[in-house]
Amino acid sequence: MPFRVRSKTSILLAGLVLMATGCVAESEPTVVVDEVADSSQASEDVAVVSGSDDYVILYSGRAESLVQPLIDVFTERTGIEIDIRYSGTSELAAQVLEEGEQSPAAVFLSQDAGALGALSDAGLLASLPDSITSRVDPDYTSRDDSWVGVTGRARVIAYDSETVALEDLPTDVDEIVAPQWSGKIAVAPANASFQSFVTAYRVIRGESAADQWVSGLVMSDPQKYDKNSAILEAVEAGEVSLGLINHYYWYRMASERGGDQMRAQLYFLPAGDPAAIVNVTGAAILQAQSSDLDATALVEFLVSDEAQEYFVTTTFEYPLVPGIGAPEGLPELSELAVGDFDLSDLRSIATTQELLRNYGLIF
Amino acid sequence: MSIPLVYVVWRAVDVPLSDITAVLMRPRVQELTLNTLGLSLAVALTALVMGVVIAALLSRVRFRGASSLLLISALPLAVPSYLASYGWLVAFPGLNGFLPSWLLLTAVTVPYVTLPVAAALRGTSAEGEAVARTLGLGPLRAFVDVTWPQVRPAAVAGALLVFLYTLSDFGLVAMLRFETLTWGIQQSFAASFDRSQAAILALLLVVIALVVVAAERSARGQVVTSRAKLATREPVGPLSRTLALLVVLAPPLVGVVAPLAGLAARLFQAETLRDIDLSRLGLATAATIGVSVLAALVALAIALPLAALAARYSGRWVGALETLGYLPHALPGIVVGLSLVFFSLAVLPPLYQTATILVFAYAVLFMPKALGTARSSIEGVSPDLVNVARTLGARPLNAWARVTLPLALPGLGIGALLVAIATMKELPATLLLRPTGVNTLATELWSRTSAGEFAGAAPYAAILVLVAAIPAMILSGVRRTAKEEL
Amino acid sequence: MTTLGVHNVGLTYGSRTALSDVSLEIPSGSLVAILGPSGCGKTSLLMAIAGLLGIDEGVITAGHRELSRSGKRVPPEQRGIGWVPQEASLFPHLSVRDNIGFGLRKGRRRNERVEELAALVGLTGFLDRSPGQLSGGQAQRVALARALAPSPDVLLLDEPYGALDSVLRHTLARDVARILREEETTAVLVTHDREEALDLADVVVVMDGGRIVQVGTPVEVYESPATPWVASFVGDTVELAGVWRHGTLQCEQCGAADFCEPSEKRPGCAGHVVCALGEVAATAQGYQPADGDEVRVVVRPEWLAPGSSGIPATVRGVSYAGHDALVEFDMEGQKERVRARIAAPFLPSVGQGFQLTLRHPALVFPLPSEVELA
Repeated sequence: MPFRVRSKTSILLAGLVLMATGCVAESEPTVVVDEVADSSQASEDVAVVSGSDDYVILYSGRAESLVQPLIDVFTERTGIEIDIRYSGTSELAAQVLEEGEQSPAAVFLSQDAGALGALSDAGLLASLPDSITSRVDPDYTSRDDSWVGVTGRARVIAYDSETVALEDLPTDVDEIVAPQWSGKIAVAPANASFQSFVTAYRVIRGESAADQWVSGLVMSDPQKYDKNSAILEAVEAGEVSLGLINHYYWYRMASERGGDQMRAQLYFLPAGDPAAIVNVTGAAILQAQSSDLDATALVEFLVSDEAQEYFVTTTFEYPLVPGIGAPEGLPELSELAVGDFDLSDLRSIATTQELLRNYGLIF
Repeated sequence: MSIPLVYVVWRAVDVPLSDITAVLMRPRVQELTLNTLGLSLAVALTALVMGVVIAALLSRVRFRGASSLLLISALPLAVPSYLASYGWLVAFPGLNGFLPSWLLLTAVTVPYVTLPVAAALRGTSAEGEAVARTLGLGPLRAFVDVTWPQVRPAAVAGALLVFLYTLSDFGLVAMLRFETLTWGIQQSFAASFDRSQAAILALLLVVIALVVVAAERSARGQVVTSRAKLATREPVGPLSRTLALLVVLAPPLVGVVAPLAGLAARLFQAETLRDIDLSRLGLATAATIGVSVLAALVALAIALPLAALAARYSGRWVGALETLGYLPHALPGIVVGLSLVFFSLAVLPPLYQTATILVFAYAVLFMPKALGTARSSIEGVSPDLVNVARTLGARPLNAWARVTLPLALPGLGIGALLVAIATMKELPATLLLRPTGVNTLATELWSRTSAGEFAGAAPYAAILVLVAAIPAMILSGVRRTAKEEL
Repeated sequence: MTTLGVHNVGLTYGSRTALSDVSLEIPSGSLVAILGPSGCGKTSLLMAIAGLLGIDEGVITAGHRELSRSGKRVPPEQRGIGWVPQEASLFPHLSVRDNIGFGLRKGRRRNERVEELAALVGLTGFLDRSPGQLSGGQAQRVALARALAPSPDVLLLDEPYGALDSVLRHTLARDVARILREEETTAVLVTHDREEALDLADVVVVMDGGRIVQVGTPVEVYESPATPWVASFVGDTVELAGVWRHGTLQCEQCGAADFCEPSEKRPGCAGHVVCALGEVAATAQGYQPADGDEVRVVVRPEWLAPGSSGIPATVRGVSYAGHDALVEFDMEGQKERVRARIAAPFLPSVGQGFQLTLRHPALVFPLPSEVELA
């Protein structure tokens, strides 16, 4: 029967291919001694001593198209091979939590601070050395040296330029929940950046005011989305008038479609407004691999000038290392709101979630 | 096979009872549960009705190009649910809620009913219906009274798969913003990093699945083996035929053509078109095909003894084992994935994040798809044949291998193909368990869409549907030859 | 060659009793027909002998070897008992050649044997066909060849000619019986066709309701049935009411004394009976009625003949069968009607008058007991 024959040969083929790809993925690369020795560009970051096998496994919650080119530069520079596992930040965090000390990962690159906080609370993160933590603005990194901020993303409002005039835009976060925007606001309540914003509101304006704001939001019938990118799409399609997102999503869409052609435009609330806070992405080293010098080298690289510049030009995110300029057209980091609160404080995040849960915004 | 269940119970047991009740009593949880139940039941029912109607139309109405119609009706199987919703959202960004979720999920799951019912119809004699007609029953009544009871087991088994599929689906309902228990589980992981809460919700899913699987076993009815005689095809007026054609084509149009068109539209919209890295595409395709073939074989290997037992004995233990086999299918991929992370690290650490554990995960996840067809194909072999073989000197196992197995093979092949298709489309467990650096078409598609690179995502989506369409088409073809040979 | 023995075998399916106290001796080389209506247990008996079903009571033996007992069963593959099921049940995925050779070990000898058997059943050119390409009769022959291939000691045939038309049935059944005799195979044939049983078997076993009702040669079963039910199952009957009288009787109606003389070999006692046919010679089947007892009288239609003297009767209906006719008569002064078998070509027409005599002692049975009637 033709069916039988087909399956036999394809099994063989598939098996061979799978073994091949599996082998490729799993094999540990041999130490490329020659390259390091001959390289005249050997960076001071590289220390080829014990505790280094020129190999690191990185769990990245950030996209491959963004991270891979940067890591490739690192590998070329140092000869350290990096195997990267790409997935969603929260899925990766759940995976690391499940893996515990048996996790094969050495470095965790996170899309938000909350995930890092969860891992830190579980005791899975190593204390980062001064050489790393001192490079970053203390407002935008961990309080206990368990993780370091790598880039910043500002909270902004994306608005439908075809139906909303500039003058009508809210100048204060409280105006967002005004009746005129009823049914036309988009939020992603499950998203860490939204929750950080609400946490900021609580800290800056107080608990009862925050409670009032959230109830006001619910009463104005907001459109709920899972992701910031979905919100931006909705604004771009004219489905909603206002969307609370992170700034760089707009720039990413603009690079594909042309900022001038876009219906959705960006608007920054005045500095000091809770809705204008800056969230961070961050990196950490897992406790079980704390002695791996290659891991340290990698994280150091992420907060190096070169990497920071890369983020600025590639994703339009804010650098967190002083001395690197903000992305073109964006207000400087110093001009944006800063709250006195720990971005990764899960207890505080938990209270925010309780608030949102009470009003049915999240589960 | 029971690893995900053990994991879920393990995590849930950690939580004090008072907390569990607190979670369950939360109105939001009840809302999510109702949403999940409502959607799953609705989709299962509509898929059942539509599947039977389409299968009946295909076998009783004279269409031009009838065989290719069957092929086309199988195509929605090849489209992952998240792709279907994504494609529609491109055209209608405002699409959300129960109704679109219901319609889209029905469109992509109808083949789970259509294909087995079409196969069963080919195996039934149309004589009974003809007799009923001479006794004065109209064609519809004749079908319902005479033929339906014979195809009922196949139809109900298919509807069960649809129910479990909907129960565990995350991608589509998340995109359409319809909040179900799977969404709640995702939230528990993502927002609260609360695995215990996730486990409680997963347990709820398992309980629901348990009830439904048990109900299906009682509604199953007996498998009737009868001599196949070709059914007479009804002569039908052109208007009715066009109508029938529309009904048959509806799921492929909604579930395949529309989403792909939406994706193509995206392709043209994008201003930056990244060069397609052919070697990468090739590797991902090879990996996808590789794991799905292996997963199909492993799933079949697990399902076979279970199905053989279930076909011969109807004791309570066997029934319990069969039910157990179905339950993990109700869990979303992330739960199954995490359970296997837990399991492999606890038991076989060197296997963690290897192709082996990944294939095993797929087999565990999708084995139920193979179980139903395996059981009914084994049941379909007349016991007389095995008895004769034994009197000719063959020991029981020998007789089984030389007689039952070859005859059940087409049905087993069907089960294997279903597993293969499901594996190709799978995302969350793959992301968790794949060897670092290895990608399937689904993960490549995901990483591009989540980074907003829609143009780059399109070729992967297209190849994924194409690759998955191959087994889907074989599925409709194999069934045909299988039944005709028997 | 061994004798197959069934000793007091009982078999229950849940609440239903399939076999009850069944005992049977099947001599080596004989062809035994098991005759009975549907559901009488004959298939169950066959499957128990084959080892496909276990028994709850009694023992099944082959010579001195014990095959089945409650709780213990030699598996079918070790019994050397072949089985031809009701529906041929050829393996659809194998060719005719592979079907026939299924029970044979691989080797050169196998091919030879397959061809030998194909020739035996007359299907030499069919070896490479698939079962789907065979007619009903051809399929049954392959099934027979397949069962014979491993040279079994005993062959069990479960209504093997059921699906065939009557002409084919007849020729095939005779062919099979001939083959079995040539191969000296003991055979047990289950059938509900009485003609088949009477024609082919050495021994006929009549079963009803899970029990054996009578065992005997075809002549014994036909001429001396154990009960009226057996009588009517094995052949046509005419039932009359009668009163038993002791003492043999000269058969005035038939005229020849030796026809009425009861044979010493017949069971029951000889006497005569007063019935619608008048005072006729009779033998009581297996019991001793008292003088004056009311009894059931059974005669076979072919025992009634029209003649020059006898009871006046008028033809009321004719059931034509070509070689003879079953003619229904009204007898003068009697309520009960009788049927007689009249050979062609001298067929009567309705309304004709005849004189009927009985040429064979009637069979006498007790009246049905209250239990039976209920």
